[in-house]
Amino acid sequence: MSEKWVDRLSHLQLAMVALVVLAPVAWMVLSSFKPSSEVTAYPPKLLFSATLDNYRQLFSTTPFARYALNSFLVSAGSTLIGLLLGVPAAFAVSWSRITWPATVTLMARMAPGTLFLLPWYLLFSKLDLIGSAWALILTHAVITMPIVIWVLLPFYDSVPRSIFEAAQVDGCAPLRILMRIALPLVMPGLTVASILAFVYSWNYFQFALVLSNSDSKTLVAAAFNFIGEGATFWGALMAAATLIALPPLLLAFAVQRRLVSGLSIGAVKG
Amino acid sequence: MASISFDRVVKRFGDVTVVPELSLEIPDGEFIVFVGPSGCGKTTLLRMIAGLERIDAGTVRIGDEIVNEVPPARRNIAMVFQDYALYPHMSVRQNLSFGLENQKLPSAEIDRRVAQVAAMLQIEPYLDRRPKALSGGQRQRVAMGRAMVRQPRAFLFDEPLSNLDAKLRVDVRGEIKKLFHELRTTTVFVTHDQVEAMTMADRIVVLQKGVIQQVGTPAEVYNRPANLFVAGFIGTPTMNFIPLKRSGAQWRWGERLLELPQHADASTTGTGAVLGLRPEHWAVTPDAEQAFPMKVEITEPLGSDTFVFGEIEGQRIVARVGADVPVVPGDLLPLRADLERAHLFDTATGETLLRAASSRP
Amino acid sequence: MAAATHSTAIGSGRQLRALTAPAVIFTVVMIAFPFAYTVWLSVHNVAIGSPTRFNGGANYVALATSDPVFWQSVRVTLVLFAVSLVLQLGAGTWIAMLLYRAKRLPGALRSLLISPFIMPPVVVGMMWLVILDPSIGAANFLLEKIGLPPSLWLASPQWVIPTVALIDTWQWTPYVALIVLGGLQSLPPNVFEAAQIDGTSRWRTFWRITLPMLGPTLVTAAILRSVDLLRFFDIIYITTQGGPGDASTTLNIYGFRQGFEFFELGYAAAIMVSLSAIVLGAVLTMMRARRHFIY
Repeated sequence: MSEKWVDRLSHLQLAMVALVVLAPVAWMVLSSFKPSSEVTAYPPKLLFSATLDNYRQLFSTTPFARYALNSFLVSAGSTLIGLLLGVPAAFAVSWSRITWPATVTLMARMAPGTLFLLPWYLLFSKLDLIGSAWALILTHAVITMPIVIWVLLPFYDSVPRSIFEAAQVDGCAPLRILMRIALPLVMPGLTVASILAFVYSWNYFQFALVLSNSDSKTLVAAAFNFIGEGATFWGALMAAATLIALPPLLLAFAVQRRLVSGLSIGAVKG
Repeated sequence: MASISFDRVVKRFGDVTVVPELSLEIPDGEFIVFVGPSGCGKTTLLRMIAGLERIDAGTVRIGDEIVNEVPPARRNIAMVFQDYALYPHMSVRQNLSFGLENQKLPSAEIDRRVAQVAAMLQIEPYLDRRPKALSGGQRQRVAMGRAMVRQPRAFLFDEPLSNLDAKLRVDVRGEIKKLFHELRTTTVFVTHDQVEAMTMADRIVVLQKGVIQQVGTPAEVYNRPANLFVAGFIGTPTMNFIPLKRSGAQWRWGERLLELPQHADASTTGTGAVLGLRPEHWAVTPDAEQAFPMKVEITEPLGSDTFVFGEIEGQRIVARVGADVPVVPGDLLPLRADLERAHLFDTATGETLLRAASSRP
Repeated sequence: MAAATHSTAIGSGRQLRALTAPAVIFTVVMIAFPFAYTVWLSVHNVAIGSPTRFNGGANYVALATSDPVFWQSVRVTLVLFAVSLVLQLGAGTWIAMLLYRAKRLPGALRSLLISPFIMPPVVVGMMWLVILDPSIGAANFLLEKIGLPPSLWLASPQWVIPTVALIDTWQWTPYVALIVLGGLQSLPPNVFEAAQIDGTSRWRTFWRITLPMLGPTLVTAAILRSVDLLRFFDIIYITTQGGPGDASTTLNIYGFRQGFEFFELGYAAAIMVSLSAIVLGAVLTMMRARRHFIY
């Protein structure tokens, strides 16, 4: 086959892939704007009269706004803690022979969440912290800290060691070297790490299922309740789905170029 | 300003001993150059002065202070790295002032020093640029400026010229020397280039495998090398080494008997010795009887002189002759050796056999 | 002279260790200690109201010998893992080849490709729940349109596992594709030029040169996906809660149920420890396999 035709075939296939990826998402978003009767209509309708009813229903019959606030609080809080712990730790790992954080990161990523949830549940109920923001923020930090370390490490590694040594000779202690020299040089990595940490924390479902109460539930955990409400709620369900997916998607789009290149490079290094 | 001294210093990397017991005194205000092939330990010694490498045994002193356990930040020394190590996210001005901020100097004083050093090094036009907007030579000067602005007790240079092109290297060499004469700060300069060593040093330390081969002024090291290694390392083109065999009370090169220089004491050696003769100690002679005829293979006309490479008595020899001597490859060139200027080395130990004030430290 | 990769300066070791201190404390409190506690729990009988009693390996023995649901969940986990992994590696490689040919990746396409795995799994579950509804979902509508009988999808005991595998494949294939793309872009181009000069067909080049050279990358992608696939939880919990019956109960779901619906904490701990062992074993095996591929 000639080159041009092979190219055209590739583009066609890519278009098909894009369609397969896009179609379900588009269906979900479209359904969120359908009047409730049309959401559950069969055969499914492609053309419809758009309405905001589902969103209205969502906000009036459920404490969606509060859940959203909880999610933001937990994600932002755990990301912040992840950064506070991970930024200096990754720097130390990059510039010394300390390797245990890398091993721990790996192990934390391999163990199922439930394994930690059992003792945490016991601990937090004993401390009467079930349903508190702290329970969720601390447990989600177990997710965010390894992400921060894993993303930042190659960025720190790419700074020539002689720059750190020059700062040492210039009179800096390692903390100052981190703050004034290393950190400004890994800013792009910091952005990606923060966003990835926030997204993973936002998406994390299991811990909130068990450790939160009706006041402090996060969006993803509350979504489970939405499903139980039956088919008449489906329009609102789609509205909820659309809204819950929005923050992670928007944040990821903001850094998608770096995110993707990080993925590809990370793969080569294994 | 301070003196620097090594007292029986040992350095190991794992199982390998890279510096086996080294001692050296560097007086205050001296420009000393560590020179030697790669792996000889010169940069390791420099980094030990800086505090960037631990010391396994012995003591290093800066001034009167033993600094073995003192972190680099507190040694009050400044270093110019081979890759300059400028802070890429800071402007030139910030690069210069950063170290001073660590010392918590008042900002008026910082500004004054930065301006002074910038003027000295002629980098004023670049003060607000970032390193990536500068050429190699400009970056090198900023690196020096960063060191100078600290007014340290000593300067440490780690092969700072090796990333510059040849012409720039010569220019910067001169500038460093000029600056040194103005500042008179103790300076330790590491290089693998013996020309840099010869042109810049008050004293040269020739190192091989972590052992000092010789310490001396450029003249001493050139004219009275303590052993074969120093003789072969210093001077370009390399000194000619001619193995000699004892013949009774005399020495023989191939079939020829030689008159050794008067100050050579070969009584302790066995049947072998090495004669060392620099290229400039050969001369064209009209006396065909006395001469060593060279079968010329290559000529290198440099304009001021010509270097002639060829064979004498089966031995490869290089000689320096005047530019006006007509010589082409294939010629048989009659050369006379100035044996009074020759060196003699023990075949077994490599040590010089010349009687005279020893050049060892 | 290249500086050492780690700081060799006097005194810096101590100060750098101090920088890891907050992370150390956090890890010990929130990770290491709970991990040890779970292992401890797994060898005890834990019941609300009665004291905790040490029972040796009784929980593990019970799991292995008298718990059919445990073995069912092992089966579900492994089948789901295998089917999903093969689908994702295959489709991911195919898409990666397409992206590689396209040379330039427009931002819009890139954003589209990361969307599935950036979205919360909960949303993915909600989305597909509606599409796959047996009576009014769009999926059965499409099946009907092309003449196939409708399926129960997630409500069918036989088809729930493949359906979940399909959902996970939809979500994570772009991720695999991007990783494999990175591997493709790092392959030395002159090897392919040599193959071209040698007259190798496109097909042969792919199977005999590209694919083998992608070996390490594919194993890396497999390891990254396996860690998540063996711990499958979110989508199943949102859509079927492990049903119908136990048809889609993975080990993670089973352990979670035992722990937080039946409050059999010791038993649940034993299940989780078993699952962790399986994940660790799989990862180590694959890492050892990867060494065979590094050329």
